[in-house]
Amino acid sequence: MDPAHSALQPASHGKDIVHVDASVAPLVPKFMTNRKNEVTTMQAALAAQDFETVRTVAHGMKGAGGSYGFDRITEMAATIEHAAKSDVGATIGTGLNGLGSYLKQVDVIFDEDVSGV
Amino acid sequence: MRKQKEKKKDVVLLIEDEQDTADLIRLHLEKSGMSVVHARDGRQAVNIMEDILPPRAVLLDLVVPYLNGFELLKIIRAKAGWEQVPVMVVSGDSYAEDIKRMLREGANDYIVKSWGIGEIHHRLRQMLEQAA
Repeated sequence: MDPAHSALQPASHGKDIVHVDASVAPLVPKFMTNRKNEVTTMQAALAAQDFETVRTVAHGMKGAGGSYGFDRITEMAATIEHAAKSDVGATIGTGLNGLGSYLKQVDVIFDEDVSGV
Repeated sequence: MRKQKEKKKDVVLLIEDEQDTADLIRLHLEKSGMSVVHARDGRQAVNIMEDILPPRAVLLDLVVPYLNGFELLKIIRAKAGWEQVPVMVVSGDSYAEDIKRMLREGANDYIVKSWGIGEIHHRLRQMLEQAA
């Protein structure tokens, strides 16, 4: 599988597990809900060929994912953002399917607070 | 009446349009005793700048509605009393040209969001120590 295709797919080995600092725990449920809602928003935008909305939402998700420690979300959102800049609807569609699947099955483990704050 | 309540050393102006990212940064900074004033877009940031004393630092997202990070940095550096306020750009992107330009035009640091909240917080503390 080439890297570009790989970035659009959730891991193939069962559930993905993400370790997140415990200090972030209170914010994670809303974070996950908002990401799922954004996938729906981007799917609707894609159906309307509104690539600018896809690009804007994907850009925001790219930043948010990494801030929280969800590097896979950042990676997938970056691929979608890049495709939206080039108006490549098929790649966006594949990416949104992969992202939606990932968000449904990812498990979060909260590690001891090591943030030092 | 914000001017009377806030102490300069405790306040960070956060300019960030993505709400979850803003919430995360606010949570961490407030835990470490700082006060966060949040602007969701460029226009709101400019309005807030008229209403508060120069903060201890500015965390500036590069891509926000109405005015982008480059425009906002120019406004910050041109505002009386804000010339030396430490500015850290916090961006989802890591284009070398953007980083060079922001640092050349007066930003003190540039960090990519995907490095995580721990690194954002660490670099902010470093920047504040250097500015002290």
